[in-house]
Amino acid sequence: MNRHPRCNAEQHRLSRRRVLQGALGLCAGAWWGLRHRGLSAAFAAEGKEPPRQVLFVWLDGGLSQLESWDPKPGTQFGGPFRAIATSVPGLHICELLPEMAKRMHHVAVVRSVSTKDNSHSAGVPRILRGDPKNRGVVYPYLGSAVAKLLGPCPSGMPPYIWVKPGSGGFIDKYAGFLGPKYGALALGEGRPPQNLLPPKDLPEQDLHDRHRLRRLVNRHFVAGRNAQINDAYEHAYHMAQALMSRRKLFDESTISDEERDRYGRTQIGQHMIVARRMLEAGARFVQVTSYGWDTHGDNFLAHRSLVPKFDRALAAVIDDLVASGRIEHTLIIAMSEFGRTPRINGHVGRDHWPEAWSVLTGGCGLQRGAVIGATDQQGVFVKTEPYDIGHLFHTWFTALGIDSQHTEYDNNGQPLPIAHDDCFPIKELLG
Amino acid sequence: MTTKPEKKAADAAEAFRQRWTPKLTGRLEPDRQIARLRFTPCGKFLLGGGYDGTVWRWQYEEPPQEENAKQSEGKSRRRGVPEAPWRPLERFKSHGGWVTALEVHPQGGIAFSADSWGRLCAWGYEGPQEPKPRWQQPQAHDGWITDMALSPDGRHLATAGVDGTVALWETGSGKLLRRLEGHGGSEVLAVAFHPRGDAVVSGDLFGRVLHWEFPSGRKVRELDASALYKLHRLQDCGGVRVLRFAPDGKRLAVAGTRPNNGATIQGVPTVLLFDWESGKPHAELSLGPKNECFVCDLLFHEAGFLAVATSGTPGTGRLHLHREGEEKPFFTARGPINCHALARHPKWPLLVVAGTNSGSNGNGRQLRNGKYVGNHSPLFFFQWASEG
Repeated sequence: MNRHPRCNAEQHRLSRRRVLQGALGLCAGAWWGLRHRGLSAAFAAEGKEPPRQVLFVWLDGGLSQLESWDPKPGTQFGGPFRAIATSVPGLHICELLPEMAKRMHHVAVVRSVSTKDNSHSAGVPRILRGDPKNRGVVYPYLGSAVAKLLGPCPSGMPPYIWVKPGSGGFIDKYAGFLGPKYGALALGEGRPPQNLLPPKDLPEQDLHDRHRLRRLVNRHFVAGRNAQINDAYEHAYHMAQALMSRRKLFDESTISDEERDRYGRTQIGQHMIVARRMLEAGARFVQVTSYGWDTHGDNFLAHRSLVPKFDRALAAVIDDLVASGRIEHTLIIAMSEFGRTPRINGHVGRDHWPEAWSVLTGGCGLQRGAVIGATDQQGVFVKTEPYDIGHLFHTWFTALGIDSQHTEYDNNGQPLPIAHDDCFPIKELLG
Repeated sequence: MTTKPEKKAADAAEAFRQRWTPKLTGRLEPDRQIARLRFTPCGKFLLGGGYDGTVWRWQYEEPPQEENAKQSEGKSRRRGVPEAPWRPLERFKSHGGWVTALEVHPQGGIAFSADSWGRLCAWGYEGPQEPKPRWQQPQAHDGWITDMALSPDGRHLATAGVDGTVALWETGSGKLLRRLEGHGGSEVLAVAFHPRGDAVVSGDLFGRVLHWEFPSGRKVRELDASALYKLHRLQDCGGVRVLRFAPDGKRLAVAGTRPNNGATIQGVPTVLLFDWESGKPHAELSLGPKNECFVCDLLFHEAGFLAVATSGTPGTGRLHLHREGEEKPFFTARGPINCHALARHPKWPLLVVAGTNSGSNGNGRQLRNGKYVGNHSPLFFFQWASEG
């Protein structure tokens, strides 16, 4: 038998399928009937501080800062929309965000983000990895980083859940040098992994036998192979177990019409409900991705269609996080890989603009109602101290209770900083 | 082998093409982008609604004598095209956001303009001084006014807005006559008056065209132009962008794009021609590949063709002249790209189109002489030999 440490693609595919199938089938019965219990209540009862969590909203392609958090109405590049007042005196945002305008006192906006890449292919990974100094290794995306640095919550839920359009599955490619174990469990269209439930007519004993068989086969499979990969298989198996114990999280009949309306009956609205449920169940890092924000053409009517849907969903989840008190320990981030050009092209679109853009963040002790930094009168360049993504990573790690300037990854003995060495936490955002 | 009737038809088509192929005779270079163009009925003024929240004004000036023209030719030509003899005047500056709708009273003297912040103004366009509003409605709509249309007698004005309504106004006083709310809250992107003056049509983002009786405001029927709409991912794409009646009122052109995808939107620029009597579509014009995207403006010419301005991926989008009943445009202008607005002179065989400068797009910091520069809309003047 080929004992190459990295199995070939066919072995990989089949083995993972076997593992997952076995796992999903075997453990369902054992967890049958268990009920989800709210984490906050559990921790309050035990007198412990609730674990810190992250809600990460990724608007893939590039939200226009001018049509969102940093409007410049009446200027050359300001576009057609008005600015509206918010719940923070003196702070105005684009009229396309009426719901968030009422809730800006809960969060903060950084208007002086200035990054380096103006292409998606380079910009997305660079932003999501925090753009650390190049040390010849592939850094993890933020979700994998948080999963590693904070570990899973005590709930046993998967630490990194990704609610996304399209297909789901266990996606390990963004974990970088941390290894596949720190990948994301993707819930395609917000739905649970396929075959989560065992067949109804499968006896308990059969499940048990299959479990034993899986362990036996797995031990045989592991010998001489990459331990990291097997580790990831085991991890995926345990995640499946954890999810099976909370099947009701995916029971759509438990979502009321009122709740669906409040979040908006849109893809992002319904996905945000799933994300909130995952946070409530104890996932450490939950990412919600919305695709289709790369508005090189028809930018303004596109943003008029897109932004209010995002606005409604984000406002609703913030309301719920505030009402439950979870905002105190849940870090909220809403961002893209860059902003959009002030200049309006012939397709009435805006192109990619990393020079000066905005990020919305809040919760987990970050300053409420803060406006960090400013752009110039035309919204072209940052006129205050510019902050790179490294500064934001430092700030977010700090808010999560991680000493971002002294904590290091251990990459097989190689110490690696968790955020860019030359950046630092944004003090005025931390308060 | 070509038959005699086919040859006769081909010869007639070729004669038509030669007769109605215009020549590019002039160009203007406003330094901002222009969303709408209109000539005044006297033909002496050209107005342009800008992304800078102003209405640009140009006044026609007799070209200099032939000798002077020859002397100045070198200076005023741009890419081989002479500067059009239209002198800029003080702009109308009472708007905010973008000026997105513009019409001129058929008896002349008064222009009506509307902006993306919801303001509607009436103002006198003559005179060298900066014009002031005769009346204005600061909140004519809640936000972006996307289009307007005048009744044939000039006594009434219809406006369309992203607030989902159509508003009918008295042009003399600016008084609101009626607000029509049948679009279910969807953005209304286009509006037109029937040449008989007894009907208004309005088109929305979802491709619905509503026929309203005028002046009662009663909804009569709905025409289906949903081919111009698509939900892609989270984005509602396309919609009815232009509505125009043929001069005889027998056909209604409903135009936009057949959307393929959102974000960097792609789609085929499309005109759906409806028979007004029956309300049924009888022809569809596809005016380019899917990256050419939108029909932004169009007008009917009584000779039997449509002038259509299209715009898509930067560098695409043209002025097309399309004879009804034919498969392809008989003329596509080579000069203008990303065309957004059209206007036809009321007296001369002249058509002006607002394009976009080349190189209008690009990611990241692109400085010219150390400055970050916006785009603009060159105006291209096309002339026919004479009106038929």
